[in-house]
Amino acid sequence: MDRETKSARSARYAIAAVFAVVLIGFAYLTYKLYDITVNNYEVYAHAAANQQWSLLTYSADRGMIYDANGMPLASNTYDYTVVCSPSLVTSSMLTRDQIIEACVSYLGVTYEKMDGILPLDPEDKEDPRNDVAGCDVTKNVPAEVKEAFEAYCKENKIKGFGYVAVPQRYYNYGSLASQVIGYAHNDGESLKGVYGLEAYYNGLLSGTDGYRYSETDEITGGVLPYSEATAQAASDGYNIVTNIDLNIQRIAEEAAREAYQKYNPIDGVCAIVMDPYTGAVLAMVSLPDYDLNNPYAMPYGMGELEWQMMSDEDRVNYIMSNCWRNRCISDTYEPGSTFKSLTTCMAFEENLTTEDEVFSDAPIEISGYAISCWLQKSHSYNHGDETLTKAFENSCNPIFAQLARRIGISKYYSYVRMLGFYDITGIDLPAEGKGIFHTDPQELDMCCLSFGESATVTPIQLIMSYCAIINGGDLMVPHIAHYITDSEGNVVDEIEPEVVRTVFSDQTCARVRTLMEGVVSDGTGSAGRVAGYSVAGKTSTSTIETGELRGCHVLSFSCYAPSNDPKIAVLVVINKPADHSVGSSSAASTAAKIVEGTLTYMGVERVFTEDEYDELLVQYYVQKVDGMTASEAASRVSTNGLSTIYGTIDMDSETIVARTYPSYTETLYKTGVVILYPEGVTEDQMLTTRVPNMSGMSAIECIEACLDLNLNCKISGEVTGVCTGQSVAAGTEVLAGEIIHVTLEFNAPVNQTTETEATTYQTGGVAGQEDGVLVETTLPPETEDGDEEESN
Amino acid sequence: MDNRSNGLVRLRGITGLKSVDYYLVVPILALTIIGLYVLQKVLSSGYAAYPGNYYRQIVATAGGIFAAIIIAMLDHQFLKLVGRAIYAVSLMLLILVPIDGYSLASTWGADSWLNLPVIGNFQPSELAKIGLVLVASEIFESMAEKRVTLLKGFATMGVVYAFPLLLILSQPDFGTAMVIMFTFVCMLFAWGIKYRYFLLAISSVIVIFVPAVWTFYLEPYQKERILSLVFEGSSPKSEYNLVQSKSAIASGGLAGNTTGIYTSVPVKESDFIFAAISEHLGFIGTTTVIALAFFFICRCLYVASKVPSKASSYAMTGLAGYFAFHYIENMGMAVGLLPITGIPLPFISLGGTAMLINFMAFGVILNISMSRNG
Repeated sequence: MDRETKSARSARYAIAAVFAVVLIGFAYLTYKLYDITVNNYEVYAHAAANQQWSLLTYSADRGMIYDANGMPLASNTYDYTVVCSPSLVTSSMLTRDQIIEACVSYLGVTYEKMDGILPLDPEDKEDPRNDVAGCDVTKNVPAEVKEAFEAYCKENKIKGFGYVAVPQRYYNYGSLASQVIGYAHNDGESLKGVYGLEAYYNGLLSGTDGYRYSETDEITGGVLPYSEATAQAASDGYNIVTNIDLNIQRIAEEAAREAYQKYNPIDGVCAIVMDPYTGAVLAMVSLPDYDLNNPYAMPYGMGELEWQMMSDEDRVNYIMSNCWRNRCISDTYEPGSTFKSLTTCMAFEENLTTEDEVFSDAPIEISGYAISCWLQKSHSYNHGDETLTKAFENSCNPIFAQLARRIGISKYYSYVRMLGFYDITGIDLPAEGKGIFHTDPQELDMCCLSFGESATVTPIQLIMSYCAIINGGDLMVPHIAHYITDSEGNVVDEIEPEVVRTVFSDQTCARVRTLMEGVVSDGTGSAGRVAGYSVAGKTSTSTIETGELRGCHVLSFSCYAPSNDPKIAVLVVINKPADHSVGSSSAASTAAKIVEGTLTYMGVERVFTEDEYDELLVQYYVQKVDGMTASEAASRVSTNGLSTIYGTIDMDSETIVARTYPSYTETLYKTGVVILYPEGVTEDQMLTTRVPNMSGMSAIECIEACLDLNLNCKISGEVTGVCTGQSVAAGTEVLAGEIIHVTLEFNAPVNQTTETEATTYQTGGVAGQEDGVLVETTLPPETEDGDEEESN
Repeated sequence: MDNRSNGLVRLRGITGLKSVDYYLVVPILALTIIGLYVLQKVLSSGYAAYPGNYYRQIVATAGGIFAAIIIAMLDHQFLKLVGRAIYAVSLMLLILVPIDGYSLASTWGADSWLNLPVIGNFQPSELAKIGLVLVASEIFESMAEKRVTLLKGFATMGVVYAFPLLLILSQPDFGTAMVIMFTFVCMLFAWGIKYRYFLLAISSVIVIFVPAVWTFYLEPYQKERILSLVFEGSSPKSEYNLVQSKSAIASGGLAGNTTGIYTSVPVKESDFIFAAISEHLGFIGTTTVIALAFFFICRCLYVASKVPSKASSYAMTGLAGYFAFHYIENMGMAVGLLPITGIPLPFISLGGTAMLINFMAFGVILNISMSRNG
């Protein structure tokens, strides 16, 4: 009995023990539940909400980048990432190998890569390739390739591939202004600017992605119908309207590229075109450049073989340091003689000298170091005594060292500081550098700096200091962007011209500008002359004194035009041509091309001086080219600057030329045009055009008006006068290439009613020549058509 | 009462209803109703087989209740016989499982299903749990009453347990094997094992059994499940179920998720139905379920300590342990306390076999509780 109770009691204890275990278990369970539902509600409920609500992202369109005329420089497009679920890639028609071959031929992936992705047997659980739920096959597939591949898959019943659209950037003009625009790269989430404007204005361009939370179906994950959604539309990025003008940029790039090809400089070519009054950057060229749509491609100017030899890393390094780099703002160079204008400004501002003061060009010794003129170095004699004006034209170093000494170290460097050489200019581009200037300048440092040596500047720093001289003393902040607009084109922000500080007075600047005009008209900058436009500027040749590039030159020309009413400031830097004998005229002539092209584009009137007309109006015989092929004929004719036009549409470069119009007995100006005709073309099959009305035009305008209509022009009378008569009446149909005689009179009032009797010159067919007509005049017949002018 | 004279099976009279322990019946019926309510919600929210699967669940529940009533009304003396019969049938069916053509191995992870004619899909290991409890309680009683020696008793026990356990482990259904071990331990306690033996057994299990199981038995996915429990974040793949489950539980808040949008939890209708309970009934619902289960198990243990028959007491303790293990393990895995196993929530989870067997077990419990009173 006792034993019985004992065992019963022990059984009860045992049951109590089980009970205790159960109690603890349930208690802890309850606690844990409480913990989840109450304490950590947010954490888990958020996780739950993420699944119950699907988040759709509407990606904001990246803003566009426009040039000053509203032409798009950067716009948006899409490409595709091809993805696949390896175990699902099957086809009822093709074998695995055939599927792989299709991927190789359409998508350009390697056989090995596809072999590594696709399992041999989708049912084989041992094959690790079957464990991959999904993977990228290849990225950056253009839409047309994706569509072709998709169609092929459909046709051959290949399953398991998917396509993810990825926003990409498209640069409408390829390499144009590449370093300024920069490029944006899709990092997997969105487009992010990497260089240039794309990087600098990335925040503005990106916009804000929109979203839509919507309730999803638990099983399929699809959006439930009728569910209420919280949505926020994407706000697209702002557009950037730049000051860069596509046409000016093209002109500058063309000129700079010509110099780059000709001189093959080690550190490239920079060219900047500025509006000197506002600080607007009209064009900015840094060569070598790169294709924005394919930034990793072989850079222009590099040998295929050399490129093949490089490792991927070397390639990227090369492109990064040579092509992606905007040398205009990131590279520094010794400004050389261009700095003399600034030294002169300081001296004038401080009233320490005048244009007519006479200085000696003899070498001067400073701190045991002789400073002498370039002439002294090369020819062992110097310019002797000369006025400051002459010294400026001759670019004599000792004279500027003397000026700097008069100014004094502290004042000199305070001007340097005021000109912004110790700071970045604040241009709206990333990675701007600044020159290296003396921190504790000594007299020798200053004297060397007076002619631009011993310190370095960035091209943008230098041109901004020149802009100050041009605009009357204001140091401006350079701006690439002009307007910020929203996606509907409303102006959100306008970037106003910004004056950093006024450094020089108007008079000082005007005096120095006069000196700079002399440099081009009479001095070292003669290569910068442009017929019809007066250019003023300063050349520079600085020499690398140390290192492995010792003896290399940096050639630059800083100028503005027209000199009486400056429209543009231009800086060209040709940095270390391989050939050490290349002089600063290389930069000056490049700048001249930019000035000529830009001012013509801007519609600035050309004013030829009599001397310039003398040069322009030299007459050349048309070369005899009968029996040559068209291409030979064209090159022969163009030796004197004449241009040629094929007279029939079926001519090509191999066609034998039988005659020209005008014929070789005629003389033309170098702007003339010659039409080439093959055998068997009769007069009534020859090209015709209509004569323009040139009344009141200047000589150059007459020449250009004729040239536009494929006519030649001969000027008589006062070359600087205006047109008062033309040998063929306006609106008359004549043969292309016809010589129109024009009479100019000085300051004569234009007489609209008296026009040349044209009968003697009216040759050639009039009607029924559709076959041969290449150019037709757009000029409407003038109202005075019937009137005829006296021939002179 | 002379039972033997009245034939093999003598049902207790209607008067038996008076002796029904409502402290046991009410919680179970409440759990069943909650279960059917939640299941309806879960299944109707996008399961392709709905409402067929739901009707099958109702039929199974009805069948289970019917089986429970029959078992409860059986003369107490026949329980032993019933136990042996269940054991024998379950063993036979377990042998059938590995034979191709019957199993549904490809559908679920473990090959523990039989596709039987008429009955349909059936899990014999479920049946084995009850059979083993009843058979083991009989052996324990024999040992307690010194009708057999301890050696002979434990040897028999070893043989009785070895066949079903080995067959279940080879399926492999680690969860069910653990349930069986746990119920055995519960009965061992109730039988009155000396604690020093118990400690010895526990330590030998820890020293020998655990490493051996870990090394030789567990599949990589099972190891991952355990590791992810101990080291959070070690295996995102196996943690997925848990994160989803916790998310669903949390989204229920206090009184249920009223938004009508629910989290996707794998096997939400069965193994992870606890998450669905929270989603639909909130913290109130889950604590109610816990309270009901707790009350039911406590009542079982209380009855176990009161019944005169030793075998009944052991069986009751074993069944209480069986249910306790199911409830704790199932809820524990849903909240991330315990490793994830395929153990359903009794009377709630979708599953005809489980429902039927649980009600059969409940029938046994009722039967035992009624034997106390009359």
